[in-house]
Amino acid sequence: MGARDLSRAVGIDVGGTFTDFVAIDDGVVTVFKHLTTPADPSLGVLDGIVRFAHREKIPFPDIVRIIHGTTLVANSLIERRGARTALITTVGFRDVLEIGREARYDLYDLELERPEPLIPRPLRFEIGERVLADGTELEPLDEAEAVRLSRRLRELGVESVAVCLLHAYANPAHERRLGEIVAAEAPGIDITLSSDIAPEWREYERTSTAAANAFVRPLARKYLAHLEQGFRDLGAPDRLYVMMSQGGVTSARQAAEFAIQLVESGPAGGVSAAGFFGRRLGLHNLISFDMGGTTAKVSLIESGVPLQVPELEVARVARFKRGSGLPLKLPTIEMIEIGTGGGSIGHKGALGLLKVGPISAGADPGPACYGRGTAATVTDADLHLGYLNPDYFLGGSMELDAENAERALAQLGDEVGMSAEQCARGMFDIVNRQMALAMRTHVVERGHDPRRFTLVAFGGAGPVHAYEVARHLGIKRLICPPAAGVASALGFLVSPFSVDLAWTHLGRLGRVDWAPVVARLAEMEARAREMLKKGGADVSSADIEKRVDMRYVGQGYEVPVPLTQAELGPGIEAELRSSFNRLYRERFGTSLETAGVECVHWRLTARVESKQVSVTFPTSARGGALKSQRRTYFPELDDYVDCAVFDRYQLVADNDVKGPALIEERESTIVVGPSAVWRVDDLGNVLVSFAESHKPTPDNGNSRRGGRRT
Amino acid sequence: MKAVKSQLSLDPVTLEIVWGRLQAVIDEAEVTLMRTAFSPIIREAFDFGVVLLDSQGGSVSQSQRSMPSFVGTLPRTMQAALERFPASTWQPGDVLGTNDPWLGTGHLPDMTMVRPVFRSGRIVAYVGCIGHWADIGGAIWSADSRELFEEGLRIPLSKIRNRGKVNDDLLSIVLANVRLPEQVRGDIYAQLATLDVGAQRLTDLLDEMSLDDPASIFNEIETRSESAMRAAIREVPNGTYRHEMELDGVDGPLVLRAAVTIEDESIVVDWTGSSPQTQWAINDSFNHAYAMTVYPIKCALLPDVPNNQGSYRPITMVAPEGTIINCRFPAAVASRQIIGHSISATVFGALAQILPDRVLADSGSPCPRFVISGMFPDGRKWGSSFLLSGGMGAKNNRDGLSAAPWPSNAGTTSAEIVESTTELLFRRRALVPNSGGDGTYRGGLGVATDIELRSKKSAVLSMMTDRVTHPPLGRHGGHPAAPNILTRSGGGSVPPKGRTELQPGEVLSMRTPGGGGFGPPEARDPEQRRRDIEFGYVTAE
Repeated sequence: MGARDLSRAVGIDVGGTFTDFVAIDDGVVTVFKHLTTPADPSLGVLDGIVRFAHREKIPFPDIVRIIHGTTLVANSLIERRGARTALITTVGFRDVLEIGREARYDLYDLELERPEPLIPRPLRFEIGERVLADGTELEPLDEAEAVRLSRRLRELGVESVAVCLLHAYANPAHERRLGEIVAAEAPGIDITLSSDIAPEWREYERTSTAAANAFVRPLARKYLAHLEQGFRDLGAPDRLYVMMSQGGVTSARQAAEFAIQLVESGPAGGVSAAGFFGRRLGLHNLISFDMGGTTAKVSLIESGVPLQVPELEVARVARFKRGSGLPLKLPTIEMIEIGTGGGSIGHKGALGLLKVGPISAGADPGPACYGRGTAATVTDADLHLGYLNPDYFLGGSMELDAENAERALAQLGDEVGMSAEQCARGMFDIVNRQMALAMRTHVVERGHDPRRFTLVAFGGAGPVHAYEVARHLGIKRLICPPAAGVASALGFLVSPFSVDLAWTHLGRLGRVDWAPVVARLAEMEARAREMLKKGGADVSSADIEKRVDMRYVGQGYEVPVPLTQAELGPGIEAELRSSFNRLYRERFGTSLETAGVECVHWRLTARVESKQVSVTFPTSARGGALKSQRRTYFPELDDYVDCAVFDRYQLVADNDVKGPALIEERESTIVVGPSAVWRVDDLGNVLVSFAESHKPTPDNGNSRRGGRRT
Repeated sequence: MKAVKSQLSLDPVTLEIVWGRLQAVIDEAEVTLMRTAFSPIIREAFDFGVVLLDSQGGSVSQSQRSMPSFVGTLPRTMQAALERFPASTWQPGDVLGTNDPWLGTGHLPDMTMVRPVFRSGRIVAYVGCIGHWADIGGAIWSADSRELFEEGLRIPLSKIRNRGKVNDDLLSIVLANVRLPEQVRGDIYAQLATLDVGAQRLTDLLDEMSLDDPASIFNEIETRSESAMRAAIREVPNGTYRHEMELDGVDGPLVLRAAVTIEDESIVVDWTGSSPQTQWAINDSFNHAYAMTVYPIKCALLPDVPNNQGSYRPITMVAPEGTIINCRFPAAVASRQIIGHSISATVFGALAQILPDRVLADSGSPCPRFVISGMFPDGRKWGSSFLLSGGMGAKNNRDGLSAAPWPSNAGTTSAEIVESTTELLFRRRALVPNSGGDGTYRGGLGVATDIELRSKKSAVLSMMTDRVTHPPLGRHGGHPAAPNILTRSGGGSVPPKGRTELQPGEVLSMRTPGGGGFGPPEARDPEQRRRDIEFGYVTAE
């Protein structure tokens, strides 16, 4: 390939074990994996990209864009390894981080632990000042105290400070002035203002967001600067971009300001990739299904756009318990995380039932079939039932110990009164149905029918379990895209540049004061364009989307309503009311036509779509992909059959083939059951289609499990 | 053999899967309530309960955020409803409701609603939902009413919805009697939507399973929980264990006296000897007292097993009529949580004698509540209910949580949100140093709240709290916590159980009690002591 091509881009995703590299060169995708260097992940990134570029003969100056996703921010919060961070609050509120919402996340556990505040009490300070809910100043900022406080921060060796003053979303003047004073008196201390990062009400959640950003930013800034320097040394300066949790890309410099937005960057890339593969097939309603070693992640893509939520919770003490983590007011691609991964352990629950997860065997000791552990995991069940090839795990680089898996399953069976075989089938069924349930709940809550969606499966275990999950939901189509093991890194390359801004400002329909709203939205648009520009996007083609979160007066939960009108003002209020009533009815089945309606949060998204519209995967396939046959269990037959095994890398685009089939690739195996047909398209996807008459399976597991005893 | 069966064989896999689905059914109903409710007490403080019930009114599963009290009262309300309205009299689309304290949750603001789930013309389940409405008329929520009739509108078991049609006559009577009709109307519709979502999701599930009657599943679920509870009780030595707790009361101290008798696989909690019911609005009624009696037993014996009717079956409660535990109609009950929360702590005191490692020292409960109600310059009413927490009692192996509700599980409301809808200004919300009882493990800290009235008119403050003269006690040598401290900037006292006027500009200050310590203070890890000082949880002399 010559230097003529200007569309060379590299996506890099740092995972726990491997750092994944994906390059797109003139639309052609190449992939590389390199060991992660946990102590300093930038070493692995820089070393890896040198080897990758060398292998692909890509001159560094020809790379136009390097888009990075990292777990650095998430890990920093989980491990509480971040900057020495202080907090400044309105007088009387230094404990807001520690008091939180007070309620316990488990009703019966007398030993429950709360998340340790990111900023310890000795580093939480108060300042005299007061702003009222409508933004008016009640008491001025105590500037003399601000000066003293700044010096104190310096003496204490503080590296980063979060500022969160009451009602700063309504009037940020005090926060800004305080920020200026700290910057002047204690230069070098990193400053995060809550009114910049999350100008929305609820002081606990806003403080938590500002604190998290302050805590991770110095680390992220240093890391990104180090990478930037490394790429510059290699001859590729100013090309580093970063994936954000909300599904968009921005420049590394911009990302360093709002480092907390990187918290879910890797998983967000996976969802972007799912959307991309769906779009290329003309499919816009998708369920992205990423099943890895410890968890499965599910996201919805509606009309081509991954669904966002305005807040998320991270670094939970109890991973799957809502309320046990740190809340962040941050637009994010909504991800439902379920404790069902390949490493999830089967065990006997307190009531004698077979349970799977959420505890995982991790990579060490790993599933029993890895040879070291003794706990039966989902991967052991998958191996036992014939889905996995013990001689071609990770492309044959690791041999699986089927006997050890069987021993572990038999031992679990003894505990719950079942055979090893029944345990394997039971575990397979339980995790599939749990994942199907999470998807169903998620889709139905939005008033949709899961049968209208297409499942896109990736991650090491996704393609193994996707067929059954789809069958349980009555989903008719399943896509297993190529390069499933590097979906996140690929997703980075096809994600848009985007910026999300929000502002809390109450206005009851009938008496909305539109002048400040119009002014603020214009300001937000200008700021978003500026951020996009700094982020490296061509803003001339930016799409601007405005919405307002609305509710009935008195409620606490809002429904987003698009603001599509050219002119905002009293003239659109009737239309807003009817749109809101309609959306509310769609979601909750009823509306309260006579109740008062109010606008709460005003939101703006600016987006520049990725130009990457087509990619192809190089193939050396010559056909003749049929490798062998294997005895494989299929729940819908309640029996084992001889199942054809294919080599994915030798598949060529062809007509439908009737299932069952096992299609092996290096990092996963696609399982196709007997009720579906499959084919490979010319883009390299494996497409699985169920017969049209296909209905959701009854959740009565009995008729399938009753017969066979081993 | 592959015979088609009319019901499921409940192997450990199928049951696990179906149980998970039933939990999701009720959690989805909860989400609907939290998103559509109008009352801040429901959506911010989580003062609600959502429960799936079997055809006999026994509970099968409860939503994640449901209050401990409500999950215990709902099945009892359902069973009472079935006595008056046998299953044969219900129609599809019906919803029955009541806020009667003796049938429901012990006070009028909580509305209990239930609806049937029909399959092939038969009722196979009920869905129940309780919400604490923003207002129920009468006096504002208070502790100093003298009889029930002051406390608001009492709705006997009535059809809220008849064959799908909302009972407009009843609705208009309710709305004509409350201060915040828009909010109450919103809450009624939110509760109806919650019941409908729960019923629809259960129906979807039964359709998928091609199952006509889930009775065998429900029975298996309840039986497994019951067996687990009985097995847990069997581990505890037989005998009768007594404990007494003294509260401030109003006219003098009140005593809760528990005798917990463990006999093989069952437990009887007898409250005989507790104080007679008072003329103040703090009396508890049987349903609520029962819920608060079984909750701590579940926490101590079997925290990891899902709660349902099976957990209750081995536990019975005896409480003489006419006591603060089981008051007679028409006693005043609005602040029955003062006794109710203390019931749970008293049961822990009895269990501590045999299960010292499974209980807490006294927590900063009864969880304090107060209401401030005023008027904007344009004449509109505003009001806000405050559900506060103290510190939790320490345990044998850890310090108590600070600013944590127990046994209630109410969440706190954002100061910014309260200030946006009232004329109140928060001057402080912080931990109270030195409020946790010393011990090998220290009690959690209480919360300081200073609220200023920024209004040109006075406002009514209704305080509902205790522990001013009787601080939470430590256990096994642990020290007591700091008591509740109530002050006002204008001078004079704040009645812990009563209404008073806050003057314009006045600041109300409350320091909620901490939790008691556990074990002798001499045995506390010096490193923890050093940290307590460094963090300012304890201040140096």
